Amino acid sequence: MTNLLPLMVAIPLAAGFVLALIPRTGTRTCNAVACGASAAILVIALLLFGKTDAYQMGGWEIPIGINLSLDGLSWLMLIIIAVVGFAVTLFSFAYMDTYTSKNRYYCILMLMVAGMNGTALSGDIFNRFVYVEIAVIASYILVGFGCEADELEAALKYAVLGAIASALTLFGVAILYALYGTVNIAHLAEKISSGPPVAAAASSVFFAAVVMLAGFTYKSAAVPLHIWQPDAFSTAPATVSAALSGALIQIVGIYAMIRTMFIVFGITASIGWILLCIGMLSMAFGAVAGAKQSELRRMLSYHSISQIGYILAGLGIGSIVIASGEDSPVAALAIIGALFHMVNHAVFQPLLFLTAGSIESSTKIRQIKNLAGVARKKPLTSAASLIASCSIAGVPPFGGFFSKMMIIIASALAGYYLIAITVVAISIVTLVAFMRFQYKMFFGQEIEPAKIEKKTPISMKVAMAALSVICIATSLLAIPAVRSAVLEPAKEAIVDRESYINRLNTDNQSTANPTNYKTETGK
Amino acid sequence: MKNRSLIIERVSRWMTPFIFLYGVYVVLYGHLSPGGGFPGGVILSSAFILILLAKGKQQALKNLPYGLAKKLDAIGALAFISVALLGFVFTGVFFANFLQQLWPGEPFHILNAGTIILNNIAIGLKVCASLFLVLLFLSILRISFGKKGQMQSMEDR
Repeated sequence: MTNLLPLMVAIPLAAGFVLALIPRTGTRTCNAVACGASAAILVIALLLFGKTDAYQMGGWEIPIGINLSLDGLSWLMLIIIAVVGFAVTLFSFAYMDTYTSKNRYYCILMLMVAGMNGTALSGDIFNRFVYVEIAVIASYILVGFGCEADELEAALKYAVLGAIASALTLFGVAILYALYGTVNIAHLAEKISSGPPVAAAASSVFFAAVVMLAGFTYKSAAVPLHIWQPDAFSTAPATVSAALSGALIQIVGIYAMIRTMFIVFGITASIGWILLCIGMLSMAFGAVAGAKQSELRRMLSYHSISQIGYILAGLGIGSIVIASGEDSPVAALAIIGALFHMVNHAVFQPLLFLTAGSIESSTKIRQIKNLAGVARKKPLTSAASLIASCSIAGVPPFGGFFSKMMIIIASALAGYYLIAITVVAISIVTLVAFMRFQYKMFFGQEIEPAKIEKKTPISMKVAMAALSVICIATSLLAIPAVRSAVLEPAKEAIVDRESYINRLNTDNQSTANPTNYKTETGK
Repeated sequence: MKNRSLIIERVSRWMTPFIFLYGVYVVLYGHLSPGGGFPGGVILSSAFILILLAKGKQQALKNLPYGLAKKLDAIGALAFISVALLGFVFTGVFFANFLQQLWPGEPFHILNAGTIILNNIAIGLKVCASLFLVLLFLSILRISFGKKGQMQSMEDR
């Protein structure tokens, strides 16, 4: 089954270029091709469940060739991309009809999905940089897709600052390549764990770590480097905001950060404290700034920053505990909490943006204060919005409650009571903000009845209903049996650096290679 | 464009076929000599860009129409992926050089490296078309500041 791995990148790429060939008028064909590609990715991602592998591209063995590596963490990312991608593609059927050239929109969306899948799978630090660039450059175009003045401004800001962040990441890769002569993640991890090549280079390795951390922090929109995010998410088409907040910033930001910090460099207490500080700052800033926004999607984007903060804080606590070498159950709880919150964030955030897009496309309402009475006119959209809001605010039976709870308990068990109290306080602020929004929508006084210009199309309804069901279903991950099947392998992939190194180095007889096939036939 | 020099026009007309031919050579011999798909594609597109600069946009679009360039851009990328996928179909490994088994070929002859020549041609098409498109857009889009101080892009000429 694992030899289907490269198709995760190849299918969306091929679909993207097929879509570029379809003329602008063939919107139905575009829908079919994009939907087929997303469905194929979703099916393959489900088939890959529970597998680990190191796939050698073109049959070249690992020191020479490029490899794709699959483990629990990569699989979690693949399924996040596939689900978000499918929902966004389905929602775009009707939503993107108001924009011209749908073929180009789908083409770029598919390229972004290909880049994200490649980022999740790549076992090579330079190839991962290239995949990240594919995804991120596609997202610059998508943010400015409408070509309005404010969209172009947001896209330009995002692109210019993003180019600096990418340059920082590439700088880190270059330093590592100069020091160790390899870009394969497993080889790098092996060499870094056995110390720097010369004693003077120890500080260079730390410098590379910090520079790469800065690049990934920008892409995950955590606080000191968040300024592009509210503008981009509130002006871009709603489907793009959903794909970016649900998948892109988590994959090219947090996932890449985890891989680099935990596997390549090996986690240290100083990096852990940096992650924790960034996390707490984004958590507090996002919730407080989001509480006083009047525009719906801008409020949602600030809360996205806040939720990213929870993930980073969980990871930070986990890595501080690991680095201090004390109890690993606490570290495991913190990291599982962070991963669980990543899964939740990948469901409720797209759902919130899609419902905002649905409201916007049929009533032209962007401000929260005008939302009064929408619940009566659009029952399904507002129900989906309510479910997502409950999850993001941490109302008990929903997934968001359990993941926040895990992070709070882990920080209390690790002895950081102040952090635990702050996290609780911030989730109350989040709850208040979302209660205000939902109250307005369900019970708000109608000054003048909201005009429904057109009905919600069936494809939008299906996308929102599917995501709502998944949003409720994520709370199942709190059950120990489900958690140990899905989240434990991902946690092991983060914590267990040795097994990553060994898997790539010894698995040369990978199942992907047919036995009678050799590449060196030229001699 | 006014004040077009006769010398430049004449010389570019003579140069263009040779530049184009050299581009084709670099693409086709990429696996044997220095060069390959990307440099070859750049040389190929430089032939069109020379026409664009020397004779203007109309003449360049007669040689490589806008629609065709867009299609070539996508077809080149698709061809590259198809070669990789054919490797997956025939040997089970993505990007495997499946033609190497069928036609091992003589060393230093043009048909000896299996799929590499196909990949070079695909990249050559893609790079040629997309670089030409980039230059074309630079020549037709102009940033002007409207009354409201907003940026507007408009087609000129």
